[in-house]
Amino acid sequence: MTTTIQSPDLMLAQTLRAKLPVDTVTALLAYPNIAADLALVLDQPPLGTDYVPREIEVLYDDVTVLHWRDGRIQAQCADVEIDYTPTLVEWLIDGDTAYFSVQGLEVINRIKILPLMDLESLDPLKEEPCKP
Amino acid sequence: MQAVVNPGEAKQIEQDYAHTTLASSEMAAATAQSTAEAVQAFIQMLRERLQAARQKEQDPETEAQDAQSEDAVDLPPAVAEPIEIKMGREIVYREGYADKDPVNKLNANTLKLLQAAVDAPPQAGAEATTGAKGTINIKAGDELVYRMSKGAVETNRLEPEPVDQAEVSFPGGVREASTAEDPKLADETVPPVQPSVSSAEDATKPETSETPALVIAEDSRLADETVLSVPVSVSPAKAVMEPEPKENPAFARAVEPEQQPSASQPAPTRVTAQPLAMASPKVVSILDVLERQNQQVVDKATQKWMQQTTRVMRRSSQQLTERVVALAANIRSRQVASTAVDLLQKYGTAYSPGRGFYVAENYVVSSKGRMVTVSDRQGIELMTARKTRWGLDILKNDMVASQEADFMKARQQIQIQGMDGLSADPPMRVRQLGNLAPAGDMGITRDLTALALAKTARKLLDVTGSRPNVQGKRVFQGGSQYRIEETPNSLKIQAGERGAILSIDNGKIKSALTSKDVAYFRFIDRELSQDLQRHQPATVTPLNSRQRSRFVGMAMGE
Repeated sequence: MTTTIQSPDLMLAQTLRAKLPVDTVTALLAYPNIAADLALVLDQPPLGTDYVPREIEVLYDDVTVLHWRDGRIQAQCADVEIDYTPTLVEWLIDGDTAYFSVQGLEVINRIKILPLMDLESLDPLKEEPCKP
Repeated sequence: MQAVVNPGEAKQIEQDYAHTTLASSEMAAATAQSTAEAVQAFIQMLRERLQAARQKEQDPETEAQDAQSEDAVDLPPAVAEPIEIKMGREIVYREGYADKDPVNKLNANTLKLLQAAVDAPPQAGAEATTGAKGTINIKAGDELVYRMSKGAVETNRLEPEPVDQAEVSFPGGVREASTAEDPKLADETVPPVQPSVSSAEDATKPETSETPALVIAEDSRLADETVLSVPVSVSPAKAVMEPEPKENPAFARAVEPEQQPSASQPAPTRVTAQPLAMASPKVVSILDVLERQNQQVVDKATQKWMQQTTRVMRRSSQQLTERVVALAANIRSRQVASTAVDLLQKYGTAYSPGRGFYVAENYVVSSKGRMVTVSDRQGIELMTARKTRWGLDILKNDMVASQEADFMKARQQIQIQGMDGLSADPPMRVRQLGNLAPAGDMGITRDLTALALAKTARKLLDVTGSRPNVQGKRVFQGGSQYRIEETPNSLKIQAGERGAILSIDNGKIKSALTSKDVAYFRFIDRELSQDLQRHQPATVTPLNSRQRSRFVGMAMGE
């Protein structure tokens, strides 16, 4: 009996190809460590229609460029050249990856049904029925 | 229908194609060359600034030594110090380490981010962090000379770049010295690049510095989501090769109109304490980049959410933002309290009339009459709420963001599965409720995961035909980082530099497994099982063992 033990890279590519378009996987595999982390969270459900974030981090090229919490910017990267275009874009909401794209190709998007951060959208969410 | 091409035309087409191919390959070669030069210039700049900083530190000593060594023999020039740059989880540059392969994944774009980052001084009060995600780490030899984490500079041992050298750093004119263009600005503004927080402050306090023109721009941004229309697909090649247009008027107006002196206007005689970089049309706030990037998001609902959230973060309208943030906090607090009550009702124990408690992995939820309290496992009260006819009234909420996030994750699972859909099996329940799963679930899951991994490891030893030595020890070392050692009484799995990640020794289990370890062994197990199924006749598995493997499989995330 012959058994082939596949390399972790191959395993990663297989896992990603089962869930993402070929172009996206090819672009993502240029960043094997990031791809391996993302492979574990690809199946996370979208954030709910009443989910309101408290902490947001925006990462460009895997570097946090903006950290917002409790209604304030906690820190942000210094000014960059006007044509800086990140290859990797990630939004972390309350510590979890909510959006990730590589070269503009979407890898994860859990933001689709989140309520807009404005009074009109949040107002209906403020009351909850009384617990029995 | 078939197109007919005469031989003359065909030859012309062939020649055109050959020219195009040649031109594009020449362009690619030139781009690669320019990028390589820009990278080298950046690394050289790092070394020089580091050397300058060290010299400054050692000045008194050096002066004394210099006096003594004036007559000394000439020494060969020092070997360039090894440099390693890590952006987030990937090493993007490494050079000069004897025991490590060189790496160069830098490009014109990442250089821009790095340049902005290293120009910022350390932020006062920035707490030291340890994680890798989201950070920039620069090492010279073994010394960490720069670290930025969560957008704040924690360490910067590089000497600030002298203004008149800014242009030297970037061949091909990628970066323009923002101050050299206007000495008046250079004199009157603060040193090179301001700490990130001050930029944030500037961006978040429009009422202190806005001219009427900016107010109009901000308002129009609120009304129309596509105000900023800078072409974003600037290829690295273009960025390095071509001189960029002086400015994009539309973009500059929308961002900082008061800092764009036109040709007909004299330069301002007095500039408020703005980051110097903002005075240049070449650099923009990261929030401006964010607005521009948001527009590239394909899904329209996501794009709209990002744009609106960016406005809230930018605090385009201070008063409105305060109300949105307060409302959001109120909604979250109620959701957290409501989740605590749900879990208390499902898993809680009543110990006297009107009193109950639920002990989760990291929290304790207790109720006394109408009062509900959430504490951590050390007994520190985090939240107090009162049930009223109209809903939950939050009396106190001292939860930090990560604690609230635990409750929000559990809440999401409750919404998806329903309370009745929450699993009774500890491994699955841990996946659903995380730190809010009943206390003990994680320990059981950890043990089951360790046992499942051990089983797969033994399968690997069997399949690869590893033979025991005289002490009965079997070893597997495959192409991956994992090494498996088994003796008659123990099993150990090691993972490269992390050392032992699992050991089972005389019935004692110790594990430090990451989700990546589990994913790898799960994959191996699946591969081996498929192989075995292909080659072995079907067997009947006793019910008990089938149940056991279901739990073990679940522990491994099946």
